[in-house]
Amino acid sequence: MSRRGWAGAGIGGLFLFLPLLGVDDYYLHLLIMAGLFFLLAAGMNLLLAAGQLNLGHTAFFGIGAYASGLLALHFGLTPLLTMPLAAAFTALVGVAVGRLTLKLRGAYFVLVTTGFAEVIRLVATNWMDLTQGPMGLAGVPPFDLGTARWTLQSKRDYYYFMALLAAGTLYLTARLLGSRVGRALAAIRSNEGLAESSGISAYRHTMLAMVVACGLAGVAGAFYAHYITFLSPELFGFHNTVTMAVMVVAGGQGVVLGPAVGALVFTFVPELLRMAAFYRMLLYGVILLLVVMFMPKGLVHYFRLRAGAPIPDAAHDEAMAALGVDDAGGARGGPALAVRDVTVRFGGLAAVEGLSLELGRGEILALIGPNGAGKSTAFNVITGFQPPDRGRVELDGAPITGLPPYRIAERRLVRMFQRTSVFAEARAFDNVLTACHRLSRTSLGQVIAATAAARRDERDLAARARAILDFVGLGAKADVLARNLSCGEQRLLGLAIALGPAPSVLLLDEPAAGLNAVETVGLMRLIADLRARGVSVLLVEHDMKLVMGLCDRIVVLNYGQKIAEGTPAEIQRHPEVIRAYLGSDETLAHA
Amino acid sequence: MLTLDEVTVAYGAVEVLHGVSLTVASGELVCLLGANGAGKSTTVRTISGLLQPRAGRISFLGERLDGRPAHAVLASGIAQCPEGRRIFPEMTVRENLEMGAYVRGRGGARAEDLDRVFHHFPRLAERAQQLGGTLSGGEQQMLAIARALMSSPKLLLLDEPSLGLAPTMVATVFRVIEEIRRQGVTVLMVEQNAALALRMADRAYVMESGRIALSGRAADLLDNAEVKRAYLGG
Repeated sequence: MSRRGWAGAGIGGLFLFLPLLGVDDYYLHLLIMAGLFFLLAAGMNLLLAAGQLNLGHTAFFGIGAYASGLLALHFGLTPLLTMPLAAAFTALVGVAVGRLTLKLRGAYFVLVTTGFAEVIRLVATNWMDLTQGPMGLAGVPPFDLGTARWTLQSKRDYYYFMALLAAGTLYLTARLLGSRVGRALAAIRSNEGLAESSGISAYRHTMLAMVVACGLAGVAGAFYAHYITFLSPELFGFHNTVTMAVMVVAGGQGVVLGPAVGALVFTFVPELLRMAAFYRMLLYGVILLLVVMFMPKGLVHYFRLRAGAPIPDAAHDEAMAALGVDDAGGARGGPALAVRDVTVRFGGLAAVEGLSLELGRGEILALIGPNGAGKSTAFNVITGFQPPDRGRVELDGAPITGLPPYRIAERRLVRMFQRTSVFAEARAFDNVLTACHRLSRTSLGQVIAATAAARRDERDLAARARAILDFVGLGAKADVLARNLSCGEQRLLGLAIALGPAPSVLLLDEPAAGLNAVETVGLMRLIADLRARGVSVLLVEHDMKLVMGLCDRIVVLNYGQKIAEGTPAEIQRHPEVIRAYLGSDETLAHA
Repeated sequence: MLTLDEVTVAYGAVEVLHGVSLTVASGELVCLLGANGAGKSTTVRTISGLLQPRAGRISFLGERLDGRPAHAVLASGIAQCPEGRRIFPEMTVRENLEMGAYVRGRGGARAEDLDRVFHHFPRLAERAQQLGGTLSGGEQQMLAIARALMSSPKLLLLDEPSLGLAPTMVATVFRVIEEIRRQGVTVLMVEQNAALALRMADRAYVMESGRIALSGRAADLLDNAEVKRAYLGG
């Protein structure tokens, strides 16, 4: 067992034996409440991993509590049943709220969820028949294990029950955040466009986080209902949400242990400050301020409780071979990619007008033209980021117009962005591993259960990510944070990310920008190598040495319209292209 | 005019510049070459105050520069045009340019400055009221250079001015750079298009893994076999 493993086992054992060490009921109660808030904060942390701050999370806590309490009171069901029912109901409410709100980002999501909690609080206060309003719901039965004989009574009973729930939550969130799900969430937070174009659906993953978070809140609520046995609309109060947010942010957001450490520290700190009586809240505020100022990434980061996944050593030959296209749909014949009569207008201005082009299988086709000619817009239409006003796009003969970017990536058409586009706060290796997302063959259940298949899957993806990094020549930089790479290295990393989803058609937007002449020659070799492996390439580039030296055909755009199409030799002689784009021969020679 | 003396820079624990020394004399156009990751952009960012050296000193017109924040460096007459077309996308072209003159306080010579940059870049004059983010890549690059010029710098730092530009646009941008230095602005430029940069520059430094590996007159470096092999690709 590793040192981290021993440390974990030690701390777990300590929690297990605490009640036997003569810890009095007051502290057991605090630990139970810390556990309760851990369940809530862990859920909030999942959504925050994707960059979504749910400031209405306490609403789901309250819904779970009332659901379980009412079911037990009115139908006489055992809490053993009402707890899962309440969790399922809360998760369902989460789905409904998620459908309405998850398309929102940033401040809008924060506002809407805050408003939702307030609405629910008003409902709970005023729906007297159901909730008895502000008087509260008294007489909720304590937790039992199916019969009244086995009823949890002492603080110790509830402590062990909560320890079980907290351990389960820790396991669940560790599996989620430590797997492709966690990588996808971090990717969505870091760079949503890049995540989508790597085959990661932002909506699906944030919804998954929402459902799990709400389910956990439902469990926490049900536990609370049968532990305290009294419910009031106070549960929906904003202060609860703030407490959770403090625990997540000061504990360490996006990290498994963050909410756990945060929940423990920020349950006990206010209690320990009771001796300061009058100055209690003031001191609490100061402590919070100091933590946020000096440990902005949270306590967990400060104590270095987080390590990245190990990076496999050298590339496997198999993983290297997997870079190629095995089943490129060649049997069907016809072009790999076809753009037919596409028009895009911004306001009255046509950015692309009636553009048609075909990319043959295994072909390298360049799209060139002056800055602002519509090349990037054409790329956006092909990859699903920009719906065309007219026309259609076909991949292997099947229409893909109107599909979201991640669906198009799943069909093996992947782009590399023009601006340097990486997941800046992750290591180069994790950048590529994230992009391998769609190749995972295991279900969510297998990931959570950490089956042998899921572990093998992770190993295969890691080997593949490593192979891709080696392929683009960044093997030595695998453990460097993407933001610390030089501009040119980030371009290469962008290419590696685009290779992650195993594209059969690759769109490269100015791949040589920021590379010097010698590095450009290296890039040309890479692209030629990819073609040899069966990948069809459509690229936008201003480096004429690359365009003329590498491409089979060239399409020239000007003011959104195709003005020429042909082989490099034909394009170099084309008078209109020389006038609009290439300039005098001398410029070309220098460029 | 500008002197770097044994400047060392680190990102966290990793040292990326190991004692870089270079000088730029008044009126010169000096060019910084090197492979990706050699430390060219780091050098420029250290001069402009975005990064602070761990050791060594930087002086400009006789005054010590290291330790000063970026806005103070700008006020002393050094303007940086960062790589990758960093502009304010939600501001109009004119507002972007006015931001460039911000350091000079109220009044200043803004009208003349605007006329001057619009003269260099007529395309920007046409688009003065358009939002920066809606410009094409080449136009954004022009805007970034124009914005740096708005502070009427004595020394202009250019980080890859030709990045992502169409061939005709590259020619335009380099013509403007030549005109800028004819008007007496000193230029220190990082550029991947080594052939073009060396043809235009007075002197050049070649960087390798965080050190100056080679320096000399640009014309001499153009003929240097090592430079030809490593950066000119032929």
